[in-house]
Formats: sequence, C-alpha cells, structure tokens
Amino acid sequence: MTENKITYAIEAADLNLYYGETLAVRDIDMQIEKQKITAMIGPSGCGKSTVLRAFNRMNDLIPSAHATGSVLYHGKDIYDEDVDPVEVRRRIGMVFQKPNPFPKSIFDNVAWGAQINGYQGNMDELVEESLRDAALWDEVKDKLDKSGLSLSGGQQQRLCIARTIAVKPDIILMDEPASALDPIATLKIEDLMHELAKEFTIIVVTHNMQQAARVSDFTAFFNLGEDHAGVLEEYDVTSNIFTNPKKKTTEDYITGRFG
Amino acid sequence: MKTNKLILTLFVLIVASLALAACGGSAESIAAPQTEDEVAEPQTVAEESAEEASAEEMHEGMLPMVDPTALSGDVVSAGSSTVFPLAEVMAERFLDEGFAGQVTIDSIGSGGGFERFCETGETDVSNASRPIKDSEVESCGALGRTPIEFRVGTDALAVVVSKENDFLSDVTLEELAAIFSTAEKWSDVNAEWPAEDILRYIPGTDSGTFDYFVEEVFDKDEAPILGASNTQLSEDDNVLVQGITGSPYAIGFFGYAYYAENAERLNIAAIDGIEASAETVDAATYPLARPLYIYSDASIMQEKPQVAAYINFCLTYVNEEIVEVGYFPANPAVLEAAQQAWLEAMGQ
Amino acid sequence: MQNSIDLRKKRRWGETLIQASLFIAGAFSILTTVGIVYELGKEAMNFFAQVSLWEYFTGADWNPQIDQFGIWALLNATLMTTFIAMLVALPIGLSISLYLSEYASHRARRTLKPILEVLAGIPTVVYGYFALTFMTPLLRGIFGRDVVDIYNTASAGIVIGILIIPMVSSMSEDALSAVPRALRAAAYGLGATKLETAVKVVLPAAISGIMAAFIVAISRAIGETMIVAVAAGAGSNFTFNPFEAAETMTGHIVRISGGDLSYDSIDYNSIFAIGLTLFFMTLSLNVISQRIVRKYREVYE
Repeated sequence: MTENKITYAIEAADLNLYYGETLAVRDIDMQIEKQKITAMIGPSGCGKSTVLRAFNRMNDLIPSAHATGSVLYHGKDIYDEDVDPVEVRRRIGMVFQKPNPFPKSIFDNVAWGAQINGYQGNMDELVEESLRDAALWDEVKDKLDKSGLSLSGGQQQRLCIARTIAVKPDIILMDEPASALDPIATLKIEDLMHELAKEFTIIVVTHNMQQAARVSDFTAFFNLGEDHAGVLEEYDVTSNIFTNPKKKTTEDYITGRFG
Repeated sequence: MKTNKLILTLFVLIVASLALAACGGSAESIAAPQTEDEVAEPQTVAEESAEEASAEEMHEGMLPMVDPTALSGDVVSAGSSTVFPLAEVMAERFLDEGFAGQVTIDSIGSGGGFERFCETGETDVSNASRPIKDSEVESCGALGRTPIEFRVGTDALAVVVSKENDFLSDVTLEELAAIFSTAEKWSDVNAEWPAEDILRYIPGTDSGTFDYFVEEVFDKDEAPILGASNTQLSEDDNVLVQGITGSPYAIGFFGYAYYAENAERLNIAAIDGIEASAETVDAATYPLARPLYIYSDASIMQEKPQVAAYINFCLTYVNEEIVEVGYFPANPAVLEAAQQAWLEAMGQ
Repeated sequence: MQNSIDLRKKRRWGETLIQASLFIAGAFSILTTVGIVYELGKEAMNFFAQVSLWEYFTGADWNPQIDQFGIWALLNATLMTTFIAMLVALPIGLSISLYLSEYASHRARRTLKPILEVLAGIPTVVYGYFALTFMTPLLRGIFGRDVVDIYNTASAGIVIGILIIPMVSSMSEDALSAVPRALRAAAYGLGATKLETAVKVVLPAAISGIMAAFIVAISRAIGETMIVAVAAGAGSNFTFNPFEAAETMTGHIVRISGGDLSYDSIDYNSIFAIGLTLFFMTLSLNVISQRIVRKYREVYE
C-alpha cells in the first residue's frame, strides 16, 4: 500500500464480527485512505457488507451482532464503551442498497438529517447545495414539496445521497448503491461518486467488478475462509488488484472462475 | 377487518336480543290456545288429587295439605320484581320439600308479568305488586283466562337517603313530589335544607315500584318525575343503593325489602310523620304501603295440579317467610280470603 | 392408475363440499348483516313515522315515556365517554405500540403481549364494576365527593379507554411494524437517535395505519355497552360535565330492553332508532378507516 504519512480516514484492526455465536468475519486489518474511493468486492456471504456496517456501528441494530478488535476513527476506537454510536453515524453516513427515502417531501428528506443534527444555518441553501452535489437539483428543483417516493429509483438513490451529504459526514459508506438501478442510473451514481470523492471518503460494497474497477482507487477482496468466516483476502490499489493480483484466489475471482 | 367484525358482532348481539324478544312474544301467543284444548282430560286428575288431599287432615286453616313429592311438571311465573324475592323463597322451599319440577320466576315488573300472563299466555302464575288493571283482565279474557287474585303480603315503599344525610328524616308527600320533580336544589323544597343539587335514584319505569310511587305521589302522571334533572333510573335496586349511599344529597325509593337488606347503609324517611312499621302499614296509615299479589287462573290450576299446589303452598307458608324477606305479612283476614279463593277456583 | 383416478374424483368431491360450506358460512354472515339492517330499518321507520327527524336530531331531552325524543341527550353522553376513552387509550396505546415495535427486547415483548391479551379478554361487565368500585372512588378521592357523582361519564370513559388500549396498541404496532426496516436504517444512518427514529420517521410513516387504528378504536368505544351501563349513569342527561351521570346510547338500549317494554310502544321502537343511529356512526367510521388504510397501502406497494 501507499507509504505516505497520511493518517487514514478509518482503520480496522483485528476486527472480528459475530452474529450470536457464529463468527462472520475474521481478523480484518484494513486502512481506508482519506478522500479516496475504496471498493469492497467478493462472493456473496463473505461478510463485506458486515464489515462496511461495522464502520459506523450499524450492526448494533441487529441484536445478536457484536464485534471484537477495534475500528479507529480519528484515533478513537468507535467500539469503546464511552462512544455513542449516534455520534459515530453522524460523521460516518450510509447509503443503502435499495433507495429508502422517507415518506416525506423531497425537501424534508434532505433537511431531516441536518435538522436532527442541530443544523443552524439556512436550510434552503443546505438543501439546494446537497441536491446539487448529488446531481439531482435540476430534476427536482420545481417539486421540492413532492414526496420523495414519487421519484424514479435512480433519483431516489441520489436523493438518499443528498440526504447523507447534507449531514456533512467525513465518510460515506455505500452498500451496493446501484444494484437496484438500471444501467443509466448506475452510471449517474458512479459519476456522482467521483465528484463526491473530492470532498468525502467513500467506501463502497459492490457485486459489480466493472464498477469497482471504474470507480475505485483501492479495492479490497473478501473471501470465505475455511471456517466459513469472511476474511480480507487481498487489499491494494485497484489497478493492482485487477491487473496484477498477488493471490490466486483473487485472480480466479476477478477472471470469473468462481463466485 | 377483524375489528369490523367485532363491532358488527356486538351490534348483532344487542339487536338480536331485541329481535328474539319480539319473535318470542308472537310465537308464544300462538301456542297459548292449545292449553285450553287439553283442559278436559287433566281436570279429572286434578280433581282426584284434590279429593284425596281434602280427605287428609286440614292443615294451617282451610287448604288441603300439599305433598310436593307427588307432583310433576313445571310452574312458570313472572312479574313484579318486588314479589320476586318472596316468590323465590317460597319456590326454594317448595323444591326443598321434594318438588321434582322446575319453578321459573322471572323478575320483569308487574306489567311485564301480566303481559306474559294475559297477552302471550306464557306463564301460569303472575306476580304483582298492584292489583290487575281492567285492560289486563280484558286481554286475559281473550285468552280464555280469568285472573284470580291471591293476596300474599304487603310492601311498603321506603324513601331513603344516605347515612350522611342529616337533614331529611321526615318528609311529606307534597315535599316528595317536589323533591322528585321540579326542585333543582334541596333548598328549593325547604329553605332549611342545603342549597345542593338533589341527586335522584329511582326504579326503572317498568317496575311496579315506579308505577306505585307515581300513582301515590304524582297521581299517575309520570311526566314530572321523568323530566327531573339528575335522575338515575334502574331496574336493579342495588344500583340505586350504590347511588344513594354515594352522596349525602342523594335520595331514592324502592321496596322496603331492599331497605331492610341495606338498613345499615341507608336512612329511611318517615312519610307525613309516619314511620314504616308493622302497625302503620297494616293499619294503612303509612302512606306508601302496597299489597303484594300472585295471580293465576282456575282452569290452569285445575289442569296443572303442580300450579295449584304451588299457590296453595305459598298461601299456607307465606307468613312464615315474609318477614325474613322484608315485607309485611298480610292481614290474617285477607290471607283467609285468598285461601277461600283457592278453594273456589278448585271447585270446592 | 385406475386407483389414482378414483382418488382424484373423491378429492374433488371433498373440495366441492368444503367450498360450498365455506360459501354458506360467508353468505350467512352477509345475510345476517342484511337481516340486521332490515330489522333495524323497519322498526326505526315505525319510530320515525311518529317522531320527526328534526325533533330526533335537534332535541336535547330524551324521555320516551313523556314524549321527549332528542337523541343529543344520549349522543352527547356517548361522545363524552368516547372522547374521554380516546384521551386515555390513544397516548397509552400508542406509547405501548411504540415501545413494543421500537424498543422492547424479545423478552419484554414476550411478557407484555400476553398481559395485553389478558386485558383484552376480560369481560366488559367486569370492567364496568372496576369503573364503579375502583375508578369512581379514585376520581372522588382526587376531585372531591361533592364534585364527582357516583355514576359519571369520566369513570366509564377512562375504563373504556383501558379496555381499548390493547386494541389501539396492537393495531398501531401492526402499522409501525409494517414500516420498512430500511427507513429505520436510513434514519440511524443519518445519526438519528432511537427516539428521533421512532417519533420522527417511523411514526409519521405509519400515521395512516395508526389513524385507522384510532378510528376503529373510536367506533369500539362508541359501541361499548356494559361499562357505561354499569358506571356511566342510568338516566338521560345532556351535560358536558364528565363528573355528572349521563346515559349513553348503548347504555339506554340495554336498560330499556332489560325491562319489559310493550312491543309496539314508542319506547320500544326508539331502541331501533338509536340502534340505527349507532349503526350508521360505526359504519361511517369503518368506511373512513378503510379508506385511510387503502391510501396507506398505496404508499408502500
């Protein structure tokens, strides 16, 4: 990996994730670069989404899930007992696989997160700015009072991104953000990710290897270990992973020989 | 949808009970004439048993001795809620002494009792806390029934207030009329009484008690008492007792029996200066005393020996039970007249 | 082969039979409803032949024996007990449903739900005496014996509220649980707390389902009979004072039909007029709630 002295946006060390008694992901050590796009790929069930959710403690919402090891964010382990997961999620936002706008107006969808986070500034400006950043402004500026659910799937997903960036997080986690969208909408999301990477650190889980190759700076390949727990098989600059993988399994996966 | 059904069911229940009541009425009235056709045959049985009985020693005066164990069939009675506790005691004793059939006593008010006895012909015996009306005798005539009156005792209406009421111990009929109609506050009736709202608890309009009170106090005009504010009506005398004990400014009335049961919780008011007591009631000086009756019909009594026996039993033993129930025994002469009426009905 | 064909025939017979009996069961409930409406309407017609609709819907005194036929005396009491019941049932029922759907652990839910079911299973007459012998003395203890009558709409209303809490909470919980998990995740992902998520996202998203629950609960409260018959009062009284006794529509029907009415008297017919009025009230409430539920489905499907 890069040898610069950049401090990382977030890093996992010896991270083990469990569902109940079952070990789902084992021994993850991973450093995420600031303002870069890091893609997580791998076969189904290898725990990449679980790792993604571990970065903002979304797994807490599953009663049986728990973690050992640490996830360092600004030098602080977010799994420390004195850490409030709500505060973590305010700084590390999330975009989900299926667009999930609130059944509220487009305006309120964007404003809501900022509101509950105590945003004091001009809400109209924030909403416009966020929608512009999400490349949605032109399409919705005349119908901000319409329900967010009235938009198309691709628009809904960009609305969800707008909603996330309105909170001004450091890091945006994206869990297969384009998998439910058609190719054109997918491309728009990918373009948007490039734009967003100028300002935010982005970690994206994807099933689509071309997508990982197109958008990401770094790629992490996850695989199922012998004990059926997910492991981080290989993690490198995207071009290395796709052109010169160090491991045989990575190469097999990339070339479509399994998974 | 589920709750929809729930509400509907609730509704069905309320309405169905009404509809059933309506159907029941008409069905029974069709069935009634059949009993007349059957009169002839059982009559001889009844006469036989009466002859047998008269051969035995006379018991408690003039009526033949009853042997409840020798009887079968049912006795169906309905009527006054005031007579009900008395009838219940008599029926229990009748059963205790070996009667194998059933004695049904429905507490539905004197008017309701006569309706079943004279209009639908469902009952053998009608309990009443007032004499039968001419119109009811007429309806009975249409069914071929001639009501025979048996006096079984006397009831006094008790005008009662809470134990906490310290101002009302004696009241005139005129004051009662005001208290139960136009007066808003106690002070409207008597300036010395508190300026507090009168809370009224009275028996329901279907009860003989209500009829009797209206008759005595309002000269049969029920408009004033029904138009009064803060008036609670209930056929359930315990509801009234509960209400009256609830406030020092509450007042109500009901049969003396219920007062007797709740004497420790209630104060009874003297009427026109006269306390309810055996003497005042018997002498008819207590203004709110009324006779208690059971009614039947000669052909029913002859056709159903168990009915005749039940009435005989009542007339014979009522005075042993009535005080316990809370009413006043009928004057011996009156009871004797009732027994005479029984003998006449049985053709003796 | 022959055997299997025979079997097939037999099975189809059974199916036809079951289908027919299911149809009969369905038809039976419809016919019952039709019969009720017919009977109600017929008897109510007799009533309205003698009493004008104007008098019925504008009068505030109800004493059929003395020719007063103003439904408002009874309707007002019904609305009072219903309103009080909703004041109790809505906040508590909604809180319970929020707790159950958003907060309760598996174990807490396993304990609480059966308790609610027990609450729902208690015969309403028991609630009636609970109102009379517990709630009324309690109210009298708080507000004074001279203020609170022994029979009063407040006590009955509060206890009706308790009675319908399980209904409100279970229907509201259904509505809350129907809100997609993804919405909660979205809220949490934005840094919302549990309370913010529950109150500001899940609750508004379920609002139409909850509204429907409320309306059904209202019609249940309107139709509640035994509690008001026992505890609200037994004499018509047009009052807005919840501590005074007043008789509701259902309470009046019970009291009057419990006595012995002559079948063709105006009092008897009046019961059906009241019944018809109640029927239309609950019917229109149910129609409204179904409309709301339908609208609510459209949003998510």
